[in-house]
Amino acid sequence: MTLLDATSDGRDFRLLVRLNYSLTLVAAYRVVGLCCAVGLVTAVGIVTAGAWPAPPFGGLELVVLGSAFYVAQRCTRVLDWRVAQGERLMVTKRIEAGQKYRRLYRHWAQVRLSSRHRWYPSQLWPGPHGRFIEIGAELTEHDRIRTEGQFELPLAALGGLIAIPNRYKIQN
Amino acid sequence: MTSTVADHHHDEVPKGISRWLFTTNHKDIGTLYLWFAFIMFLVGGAMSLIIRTELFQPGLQVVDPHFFNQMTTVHALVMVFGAVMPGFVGFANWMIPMMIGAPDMALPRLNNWSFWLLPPAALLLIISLFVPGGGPAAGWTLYPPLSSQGGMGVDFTIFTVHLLGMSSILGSINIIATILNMRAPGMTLMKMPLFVWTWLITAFLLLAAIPVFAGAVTMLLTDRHFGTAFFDPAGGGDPVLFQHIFWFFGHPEVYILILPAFGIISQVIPTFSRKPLFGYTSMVFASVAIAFLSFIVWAHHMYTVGMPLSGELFFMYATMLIAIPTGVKIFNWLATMWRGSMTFETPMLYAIACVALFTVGGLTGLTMSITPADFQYHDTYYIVAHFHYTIFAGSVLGMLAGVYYWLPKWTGHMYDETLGKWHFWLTVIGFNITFFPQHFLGLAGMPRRIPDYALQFADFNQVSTIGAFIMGFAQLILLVVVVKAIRGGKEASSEVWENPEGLEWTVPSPPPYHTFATPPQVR
Ligand code: HEM
Ligand SMILES: [Cu+2]
Repeated sequence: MTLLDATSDGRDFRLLVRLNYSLTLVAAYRVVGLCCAVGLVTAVGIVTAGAWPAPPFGGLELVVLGSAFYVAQRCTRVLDWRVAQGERLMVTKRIEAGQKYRRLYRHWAQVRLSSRHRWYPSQLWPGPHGRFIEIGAELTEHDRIRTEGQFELPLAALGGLIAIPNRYKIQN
Repeated sequence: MTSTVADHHHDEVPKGISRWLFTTNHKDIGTLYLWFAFIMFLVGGAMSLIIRTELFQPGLQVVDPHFFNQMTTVHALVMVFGAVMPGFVGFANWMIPMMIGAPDMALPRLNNWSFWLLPPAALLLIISLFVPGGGPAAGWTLYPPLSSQGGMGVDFTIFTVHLLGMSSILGSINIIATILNMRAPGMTLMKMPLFVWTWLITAFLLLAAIPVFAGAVTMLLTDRHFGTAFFDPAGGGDPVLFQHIFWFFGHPEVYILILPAFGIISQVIPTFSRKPLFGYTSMVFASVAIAFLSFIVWAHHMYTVGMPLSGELFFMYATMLIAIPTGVKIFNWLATMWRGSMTFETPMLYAIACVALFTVGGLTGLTMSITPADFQYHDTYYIVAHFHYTIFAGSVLGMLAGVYYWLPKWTGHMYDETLGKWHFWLTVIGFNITFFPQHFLGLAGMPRRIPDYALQFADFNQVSTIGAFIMGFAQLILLVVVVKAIRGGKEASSEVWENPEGLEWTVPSPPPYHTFATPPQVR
């Protein structure tokens, strides 16, 4: 679940979006590692008994398990935050490897939530025309919708001048 | 000033068929699982009534023996893999995110796939009954050589098993990822509700057990069509190898069927005893112990295949050990009820029946764990009685306790208590009339999986058949109860019961389409 944390003094605004993740990286490694170890021991026993076609299924499953944990873990290493100060809105997307940011005029900024097709997750794009930056790709659908709602706050803090066109709500 | 920003609640519920096809919402998927399980429950139930009708009298009256064998096989497969397992996954989907304060499952799209693998799999199994040679008829255990020799239906079954296995594995990976990763702040492992704990353990059991089963049926497939001889002595193989790998999966599987039910009644009993659960920590450790032991007892299903004496002894003692953690659990449930101010609404009745009758099944299990005694019981109706007291009285009654407990939460309406009580009494009385006499039949030597029997078994079989019809038709009451509650009825408050414990009772009934907009704080 996302933690949305906002600090505001009326005009200046700071919004932090981060996944709340109950497992540390080390613990995640341990869980997957333990599963692999148990799988390996079982596999040795089963192959010795002559049933070698079974372990490949187990291997496949461990790959899926590992991927699931990888996907979940990767989300924690992404941090989105945006700061609105005076005229500026700064959107920063921080990943362990580095960070991407965009400085925008608050007046022109808008936020778009788009969904190309209902099968795909929606995308959240804050920015002025032509210079959008995607954020919150790791969030659940519901959290993304919520973030969009909160994103309007730093924009609207100037006095509700900002019209937000091009917003289509996705249907879950 | 730091605050959690006010929330725009977009609680739009998508409409139409695509809502169900494409849904990634845990509640929708839970509902799908539960309905699927219920339909399978009725399909499997109809098959069991065919079995019982044939057995009403000695001799062959109603169905042809080959079809009878298909019925015993497919009934079991449908019930185990189509009704009980998906039923509990439905509970997991509905309840786990709400219980741990998560907005949804960790991998919602995967969740959708896990469900939608089930209907084609079930269809494949049902179709197998109509292909040349008929459906699988080797028993749900699919032992070769019978299963190697069966018709095309066996191949259908093998693919069914693969699909169902895939679904279970994806489902359990999702559950593990959700429980480990998505807990609300403060929800430490040892604060999780017991239902969440038992499902976490069940999910690991599934991860360990299912690939072995997939391997076993794949070997069966290659034996049948691709010239291998894993299980064929003529080619240097060994049919007993199949039994070893099948039961290496099969015994953990029976705990996969029972642990979530243990979890449910651990939620229900405290609520209606108005006391916290006695011995929470010991419950958790007992569940872990059961899960561990379940991997080292598999050969108690094959005492009679001619194992070395040391093997027989090992598996006998290991099996007996399981009674200890199981006893701890039963003790804890009783101690929770002890001096509580108990009331007996339908969920509580089911929970109590579950504890009492499961104990009967546990005790017969203990008698069968004694190797020399099991030479007498093996492959008789005594076994059939045992596993129905564990699976029906344990898993299914536990599940029904959960259905009545959470139905007001799911639908927003109270169910009809009078109908609920009727359903309970007819089910439980019918169940005992059906299965208690089967103990006597088994002890007297009536073999299982036969369409015809010796005259002296006639009386108990007639009683059993009458019970089965009572029990079978009583399930239609459940359908009425559920439909009535969906359609309307007394509005349920968010708490529903008197001071129940758990986060699911802090949200309205029915809960909003998206449950937790902000993480709940767990003390
Ligand atoms: C106290 C714990 C238990 C013990 C000691 C126990 C022991 C046994 C033994 C020794 C057998 C093999 C009998 C034979 O075939 O000769 C057996 C069969 C069986 N048990 Fe249990 N059991 C226990 C609990 C359970 C539970 C909780 C379930 C399911 C929820 C279960 C389901 C079954 C099934 C399905 C079979 C028959 C499988 C077949 O041959 O088709 N048992 N049990
Ligand atoms: Cu067993």
